[in-house]
Amino acid sequence: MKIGAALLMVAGAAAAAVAVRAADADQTIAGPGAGPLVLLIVVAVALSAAGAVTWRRRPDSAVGPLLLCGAATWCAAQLASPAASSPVLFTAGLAFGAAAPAAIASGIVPDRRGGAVLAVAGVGLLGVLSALVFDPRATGCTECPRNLLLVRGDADLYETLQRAGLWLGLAACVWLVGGAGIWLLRSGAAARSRHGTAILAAAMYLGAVAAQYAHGIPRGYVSADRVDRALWTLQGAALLVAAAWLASEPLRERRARARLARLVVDLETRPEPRGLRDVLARVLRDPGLRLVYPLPDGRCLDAGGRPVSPDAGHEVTQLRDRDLTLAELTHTRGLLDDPAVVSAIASATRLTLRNERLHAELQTRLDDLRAMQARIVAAGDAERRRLERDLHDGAQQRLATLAVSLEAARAGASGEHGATLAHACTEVRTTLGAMRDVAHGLIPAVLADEGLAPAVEAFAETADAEVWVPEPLPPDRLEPAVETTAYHVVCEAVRRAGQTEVTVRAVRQDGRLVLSIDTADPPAGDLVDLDDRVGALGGTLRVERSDGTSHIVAELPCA
Amino acid sequence: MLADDEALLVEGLARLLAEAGVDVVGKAATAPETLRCVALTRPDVAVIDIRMPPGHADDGLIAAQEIRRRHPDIGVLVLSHHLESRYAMRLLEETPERAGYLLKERVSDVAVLVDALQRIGEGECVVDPTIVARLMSARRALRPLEELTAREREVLALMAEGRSNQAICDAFFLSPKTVEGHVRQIFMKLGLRESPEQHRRVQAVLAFLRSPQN
Repeated sequence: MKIGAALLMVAGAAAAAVAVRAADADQTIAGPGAGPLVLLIVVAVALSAAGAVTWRRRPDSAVGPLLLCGAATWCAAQLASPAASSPVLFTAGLAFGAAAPAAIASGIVPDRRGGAVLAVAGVGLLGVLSALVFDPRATGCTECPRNLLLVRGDADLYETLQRAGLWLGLAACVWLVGGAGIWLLRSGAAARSRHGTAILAAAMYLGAVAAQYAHGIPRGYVSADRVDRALWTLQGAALLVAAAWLASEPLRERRARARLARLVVDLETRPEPRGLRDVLARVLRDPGLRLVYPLPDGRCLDAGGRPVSPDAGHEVTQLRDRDLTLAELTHTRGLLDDPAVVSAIASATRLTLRNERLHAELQTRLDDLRAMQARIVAAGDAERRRLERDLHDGAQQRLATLAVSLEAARAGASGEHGATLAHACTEVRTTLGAMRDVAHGLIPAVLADEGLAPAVEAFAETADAEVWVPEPLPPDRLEPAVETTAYHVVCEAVRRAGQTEVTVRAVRQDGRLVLSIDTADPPAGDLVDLDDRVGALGGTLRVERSDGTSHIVAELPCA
Repeated sequence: MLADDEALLVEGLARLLAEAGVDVVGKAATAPETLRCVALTRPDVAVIDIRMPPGHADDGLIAAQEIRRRHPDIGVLVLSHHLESRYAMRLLEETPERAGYLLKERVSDVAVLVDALQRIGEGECVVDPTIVARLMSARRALRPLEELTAREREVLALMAEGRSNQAICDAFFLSPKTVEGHVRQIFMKLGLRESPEQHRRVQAVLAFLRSPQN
């Protein structure tokens, strides 16, 4: 209803402007000829359309009414001419003729203060205030109709007000154009693609207005000479572009929704595992888009289950399903300002998000488990090393000392005592031997001190089975857990191979230690414990059979 | 001199050796201390524990090698709890003369200890019999060793322990010529090159036993 009334008003203003032109086009700011007439009408229509569309879609926003105002005042500027027959029209033209820039600026360019200043200049100084002291007859315009707002004709005051208004208007326009320029440079591609055209056109319009004011300052008022008319044409063109862009916003939005609909179809026909991010980035045209799944414990995972750290400098939008945050989108500023778009995305991708989120959680839980397993194995190994060290430095040393003391005592004793002590000595030596085997069984010193290759060689020297190491094993030191596990695998494989020949090979390739143990017979029993140990480090164990030999192949990751 | 970080052991050993007629001229508890003490006191043999501060891995072994390098006339006897032959090989690598490797559990057997010290003092080398026995009883040594007679195997064992021909004669009551004959046979059957020096043959024999090839 309100829109209709406003449109009527604009139509009225347009009709009046046309009528004034029809009377005497020479005296108008636009100038004679069909071109300016067409431009006048087209711009008025465009601005009205833009204002009506915007008002309809966003009833709470002031942009719609401001644009309609702009349309009306654009036409009203033509009325302040001697050709206007009615005093009402003439006065309206005087009062509101310079209000268009303020309305346009407030509506399109996002700078309230600049718009306000421009309003002061346009509507206040150049418009109403000037009208109060403008007596057209006194300044020599005999054909002008009466100025209904005239209080007291004062040419000097009029001139002062006009000049002040022009200066203020010029300053405000320059300020606004500068602000628009900065906004264009600073904002991201997404925001630029949404508002950039309108703001650029409005900036051009304001620039032309500023030029017009600057041109009018020496004279003291805005006139209608060739320069003014050229600038007016430029303003019209810029306004046309801006208005057309704003009026076409619903169309663009429909296109965006169509893209979203395509997204839903895409996801259903070609489900890409962990590819939702790529699809969204493509559809929203933001290659730097990130899709992050926040867990209740505070961690954030990507689609592969890897933890990601928050990214500063980007906007974060949550995709929710009722009160659960399914995922977070990190994107450029302004990309997802429209909540309708966000909820459309959320509902289109809900199932896929849940799916990916589950995958990510699962993956990270698996990784956690693996890490825990590895820690347990490493703790066990570390404990065994400590025990071996303790045995060596503690019990074994003490027993050796004891043996020496007993021996010294035996030297001094005789007869029965001597025999008893000799017996004791032998016992201690036997115990030392047994303890040596225990310590060796915990972890051989060679493995701890010198690494896998020497340890396997040493093992091969005295093993029960015939162990051959045809090519030297990689001599470099590896992580203790890897070395211990590899050694353990070799020992156990040999033990379970029984009395046959065993060949041990190991190579390092692609960050893995590949251990292969060949035996004539398959190993007795299963290798679950070896599999567990190897798996705890993230490696694999398999038993193959070919050409009558069994191959036990263990692959362990080594950095 | 004696080098071990266990003070009680050092004291006990010193007493044992003194009773057996061996002079203990110095004691040390860390690897650097050992080197200094040896340079000062210039003993005939330095008895060194393999694991000593500051590294606690094989510092004693490294110190022993250093002593052999700097003072070729001073012998070393390394005591260890480890029965891997690798450590003995490392010790004998550079200079097999005047070097010995014994398991610590033998340390209280004064006769063995003194015998080892004497052999090292005379320029021979000593390898703990347990280590040799383990090597010779390994499965993969069985086949090549089968070619030897029982007596030859016994001779081989004593060679691996570092004993000289004379000592082998005394052990089995054989004449030097017989022993030499056995040695030649052994080297031929095992396919080893006979080395001119008796000390070097320890290395050859040990190396063979550690990885016998078919």
